[in-house]
Amino acid sequence: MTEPVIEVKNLTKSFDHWLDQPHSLKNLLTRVSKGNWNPFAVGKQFTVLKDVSFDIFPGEFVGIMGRNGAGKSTLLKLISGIYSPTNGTIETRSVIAPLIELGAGFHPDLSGYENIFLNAAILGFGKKATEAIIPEILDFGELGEQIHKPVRNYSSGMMARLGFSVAINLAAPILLVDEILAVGDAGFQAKCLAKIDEMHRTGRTIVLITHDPGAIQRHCSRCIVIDHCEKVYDGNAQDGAEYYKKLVM
Amino acid sequence: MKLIYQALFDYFCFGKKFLVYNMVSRNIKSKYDRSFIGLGWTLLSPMMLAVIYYIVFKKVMRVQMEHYLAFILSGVLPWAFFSQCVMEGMDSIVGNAGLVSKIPLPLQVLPFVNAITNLITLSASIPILVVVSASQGIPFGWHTLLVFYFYIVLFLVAYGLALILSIGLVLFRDLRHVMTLLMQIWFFGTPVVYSFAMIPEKYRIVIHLNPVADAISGLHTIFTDGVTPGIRTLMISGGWALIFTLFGIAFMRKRFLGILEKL
Repeated sequence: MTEPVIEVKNLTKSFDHWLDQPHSLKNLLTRVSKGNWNPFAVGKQFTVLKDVSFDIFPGEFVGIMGRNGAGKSTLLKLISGIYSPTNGTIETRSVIAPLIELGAGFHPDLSGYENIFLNAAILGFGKKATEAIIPEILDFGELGEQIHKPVRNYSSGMMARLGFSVAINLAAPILLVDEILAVGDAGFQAKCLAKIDEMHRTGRTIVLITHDPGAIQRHCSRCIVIDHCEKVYDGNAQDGAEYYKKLVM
Repeated sequence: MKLIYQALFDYFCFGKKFLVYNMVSRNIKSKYDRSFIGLGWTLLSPMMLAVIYYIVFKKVMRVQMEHYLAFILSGVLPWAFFSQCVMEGMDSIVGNAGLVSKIPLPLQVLPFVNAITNLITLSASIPILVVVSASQGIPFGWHTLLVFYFYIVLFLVAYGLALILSIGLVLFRDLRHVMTLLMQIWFFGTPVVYSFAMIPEKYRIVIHLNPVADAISGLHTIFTDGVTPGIRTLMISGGWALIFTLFGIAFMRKRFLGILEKL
């Protein structure tokens, strides 16, 4: 049996409730007046993910679904190492390209072309790897001459196109995609999904967050549904999408 | 040994050269994009300040010192670099919250990129210092090259401090106001507009405790006396650079897990 590329074990994540944090003097004095003298007391905590476990194997195309605020994005940030787990462990055995927000790190004053290099560098790729994929990025993004204009003049759709083109063409073995396909017109969305499909066929592992059960059924090999901080479904995509529909209706 | 190498490798972002290069050029391009004088502002503003100090101290208060313009420039330009490096570096994590909360990055990259950006604009000040000081008849020689030594010392102190403060600012936002005040006090506590020799004998020992005092007075010596700064100046300033590098590395290695949730 092959080793999983992402191994999530008993993962729990909770955040401090920001309202209860003694971040200001005013807040601290109010607390002290109520008899709470410990200035470092941890405020209320709220749990976002509770005891979630799953393994993702190489070559899988996993769709993650759940209501707004169910903890999907937090899960992705935990897998990509931006957040650290409160309890439990996450092990990843490969380079991950997280597409949590398209064009994170784009600089408005630089041209689209310059931003390709900046964005690729931020995503952890070197000069050669970036130069090698420039033609594909230009081709996929379909921005034409606009690519040499500053990004501040781009529409949000154009920004998404560029961001997606950069991230998708970089050769990372694991791709984490977070609801970013909502931007861009229907034609580009279909193109993105087709591209993700192609990546999947070439053996890459893909984790996709989406609210579209149809997309899950068409593309994914497996589906995980998260609700009220817990994993409530993990199995084949067809049933998963149905399960999710019942859950949200 | 390997551990030391690894720590320095991470601290100076050797593994992220392409990223540092791209972010530095982004900073330089965007800072003065759409401005007429452009990059000139980085030097023009401290130079204007230097002229003001020159008028106030030399013409109004009649400070008895030769080559005062060279003196004031060789102090104000590096100080402007230092304070900008610290203040902008402190903001580098909070200011890039949109980036670091979306893409995993080693946090030290941000203050490092900022410090490098400022170091590049600082090195543009060398020709100005050389021209002004040459026009006043100050001799040059091999010792002039020590300007690089002091610039690197200032860079290391500023980077270490900025790294610590940038993490500190996430947890304690008042730090910005504290540091604005502190930098003003620090400016007058450093021999920038006055010389080291003007400090009464019994307080000089205290001035050495100021991490940038020796570096700046070393630059004063190069550009107004035209001689090699004393070995004590070189040792003490280098010592401070080392101390701040060690503190910076210690902070970097602690990693501060969970800090990004507080952004």
